[in-house]
Amino acid sequence: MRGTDLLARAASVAVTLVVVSIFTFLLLRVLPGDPALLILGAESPGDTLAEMRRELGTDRPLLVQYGAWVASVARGELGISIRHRQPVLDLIIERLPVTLSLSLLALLVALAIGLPLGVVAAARRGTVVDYGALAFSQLGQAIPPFWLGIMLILAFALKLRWLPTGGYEPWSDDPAEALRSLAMPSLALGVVLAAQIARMQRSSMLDVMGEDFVRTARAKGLPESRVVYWHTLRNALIPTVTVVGLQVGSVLGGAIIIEQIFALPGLGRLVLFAVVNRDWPLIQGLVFFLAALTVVLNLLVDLSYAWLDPRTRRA
Amino acid sequence: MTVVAEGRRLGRGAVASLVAVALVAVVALVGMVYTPHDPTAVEIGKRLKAPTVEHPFGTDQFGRDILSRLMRGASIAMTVAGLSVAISVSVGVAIGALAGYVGGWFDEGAMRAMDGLLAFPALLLAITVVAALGPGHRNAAIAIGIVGIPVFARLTRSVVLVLASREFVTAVEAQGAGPAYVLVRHILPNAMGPVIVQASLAVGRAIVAEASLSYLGLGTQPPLPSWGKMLQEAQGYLSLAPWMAVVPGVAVAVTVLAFNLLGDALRDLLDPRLR
Repeated sequence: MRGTDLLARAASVAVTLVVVSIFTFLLLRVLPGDPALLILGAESPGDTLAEMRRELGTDRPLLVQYGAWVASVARGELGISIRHRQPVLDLIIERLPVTLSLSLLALLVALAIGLPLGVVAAARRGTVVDYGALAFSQLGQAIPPFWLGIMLILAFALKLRWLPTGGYEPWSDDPAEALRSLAMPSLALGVVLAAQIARMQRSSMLDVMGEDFVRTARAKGLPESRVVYWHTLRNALIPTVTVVGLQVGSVLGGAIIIEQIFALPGLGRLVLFAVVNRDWPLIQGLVFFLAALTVVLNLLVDLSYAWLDPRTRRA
Repeated sequence: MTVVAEGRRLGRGAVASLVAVALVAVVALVGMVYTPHDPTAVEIGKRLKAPTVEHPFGTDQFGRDILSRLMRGASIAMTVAGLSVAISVSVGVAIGALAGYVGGWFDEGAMRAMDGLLAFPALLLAITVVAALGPGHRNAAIAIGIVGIPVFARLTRSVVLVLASREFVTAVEAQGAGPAYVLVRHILPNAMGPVIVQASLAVGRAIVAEASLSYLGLGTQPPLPSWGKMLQEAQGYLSLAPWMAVVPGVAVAVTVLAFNLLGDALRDLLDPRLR
């Protein structure tokens, strides 16, 4: 990727972040409902409400509020949580490792299941293996991750007693226990993505197999395994990476509900705490943080194309 | 594999998905007016009963009939899904069509706004909108509808861009037809294929989203039954009454699978670009 392309990409990310900040801000203000009223309840006296409005800053003009918020975000501050009485950023940093571990493990699960399945299905097109992979990818996309999570608890925690029903052990305390506590959550979260990856990898493998360079490789007398795994796989990875990139947001969003099911103390549970307790600054800070994280992760996925496909380095 | 065999396989899938969608629709419609038992009637003496002839899917922790709750839950799930997809389609298609046909600053602004909306993890955006509007199945439908807008806006824009440069559009424009007439009468009808495909897939996503919001306590509120809420309640009785957790999950999965397969079948039928 050339310097100017990189600049253009960075500029578009910056524009998206500005739009995201405007939406985050407006979402909680333009929609009907007075945050102060929602936090304190309808029966609270007028001066308490006015006091809360002053604390939240909602008594000032919208544009001034937005300006003040953006300025604080630019300084690396996301406001103070009303319920925790702690900076929002501190609360996020405390819980980020849980959500990132869960999301990364889910991604690994998805790749470990989805890629081989897609490759094998394409290599054995029209066989039982292929139909099995198709059935998996259809079912995997239809089963809600949180139901899969509950079924896993039923099977592996309550019946077989192999894994804990929930809770989290930090990596620094005991890596083996951390892995055990994240095994079911990451499987529940990863299967949907595995299904999408398998489907995309299969169809892009089939597309690539029809190309001239693959025919040439076969004509040279290369063994079929080398044609499939060396010539086709790498070229067929690009659309799959796109799918993975597009699903970054859905993995982070899915983590919210998976954390709830398995009682994992991550950002998802913090989001719910904030919503249930109407902690407006915390909601605003969290939503902006998670959306910005999604944008940045998407950028990283885009940059990985250059590594996978040298042709795009000049494009 | 021959083309004919592949065609026949698709045909079977399409028929199966149509039958499944029709079945869900019938259950949802019947559930609005009739259920074997009152889905909200509490009967403590009958709590956590395993499936019997009287209660084919058993009873829950309040002795409520799970089949009845499942049927009423189907009506609510389909209502929320239908409403939310209607919001996504109407707003998204309007934005996308204008952006694609008018172009210029409107296109630029609208697409940046859509990129911004897409940057939010979908469930997070839905949770935030519900947080602002207040919990409940109507607000959940609005939230899920808003989340789906950018998908339809981008899709419609891309289709309209292609159609706007085609000869038949140039011909109508040369006859002096106004832009609104050309867009509504000539471009949009031809752009509907991909939109219908995407709408079918969006119903599946909306069903999962409604179940997720209700599981989290932000969607359908008690005493109204919802598949997501039923799963959340079931989690507390997994050892005692596993059927409580199995039945609603299967309902969600079958419904979503049906709409996904219908979407795939419609794509083969309506969207020749992806054939």
